[in-house]
Amino acid sequence: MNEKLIIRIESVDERDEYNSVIFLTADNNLVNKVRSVVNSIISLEQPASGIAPVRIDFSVDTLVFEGDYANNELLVDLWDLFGDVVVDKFPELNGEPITARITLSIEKPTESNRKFPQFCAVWLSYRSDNGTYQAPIRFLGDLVERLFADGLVVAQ
Amino acid sequence: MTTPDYSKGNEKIVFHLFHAADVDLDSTSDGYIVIHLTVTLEIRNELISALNHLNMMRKEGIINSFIQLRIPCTVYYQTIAQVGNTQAMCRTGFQVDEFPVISEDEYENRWDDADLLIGLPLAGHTNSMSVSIYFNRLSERYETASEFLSGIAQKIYDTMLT
Repeated sequence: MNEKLIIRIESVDERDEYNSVIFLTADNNLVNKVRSVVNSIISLEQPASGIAPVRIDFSVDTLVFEGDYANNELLVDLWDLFGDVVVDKFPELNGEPITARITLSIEKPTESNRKFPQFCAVWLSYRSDNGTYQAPIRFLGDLVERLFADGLVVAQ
Repeated sequence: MTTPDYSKGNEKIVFHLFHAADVDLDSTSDGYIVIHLTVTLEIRNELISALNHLNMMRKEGIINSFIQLRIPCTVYYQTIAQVGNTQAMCRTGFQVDEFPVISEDEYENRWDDADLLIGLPLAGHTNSMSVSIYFNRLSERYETASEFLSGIAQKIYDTMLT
């Protein structure tokens, strides 16, 4: 697997509307990490004691572009979608990307949280000098939903 | 300060959690979340399992990991007026022989679980705060580090590494 994802991220603090996008490659290395985390969530279930894992966070390094992309057709479309799109090739953008550490949060899908239309099993958050940003990653969220549905992964 | 006895079992701990956005202790909040947690054998064992998973993930290159675990405990909201004595507030938790009695007014806003946020302790440190208690309801986040649970985690992790 070597899927290229472009993710529009949205400021958590509404005080700024700074535009940012993240280029994240969902390669085998990342997918194996996601599998491992899902495996841990499943292993930590203790229904008899009332203890249950809710979420696991971890960090990955990726490319972040901060700036104004009003003239880029692909990103104008993405602005309406909010979330992620899969592309064959990352587009050329004006300006230099920075390599930054983002946090991926994998949440256990449950009946109650699936009731929320915005629910996604994988979210990213990114903190910069300009604030904190978050976005769902539907591509990885769908993968996580499938892994949970399959009961995973006992042997990877 | 004396070192707590981590091996006693079923320790009772009271936490007072302020709104996560309130930086100062003398915040402008109307009140805070009170948590009564009994550190049962099941919670202790789950903490060991969580640390094992975090350590395993670290070895696989999964870095800066945190596990959020939902655990049974008693949670209620207390206004500043209800507590009266602000000296009783303790952000990092304190052990008690018996939990304080919850009044009927306080019982109206009561929940049965909260979350632990568990990270890997810093190896060899004695005071790294790697476990927090976290409550997210009413669209608000409340969180505080737990000295007691971090101490248990530190002992477990140091043993794991030796």
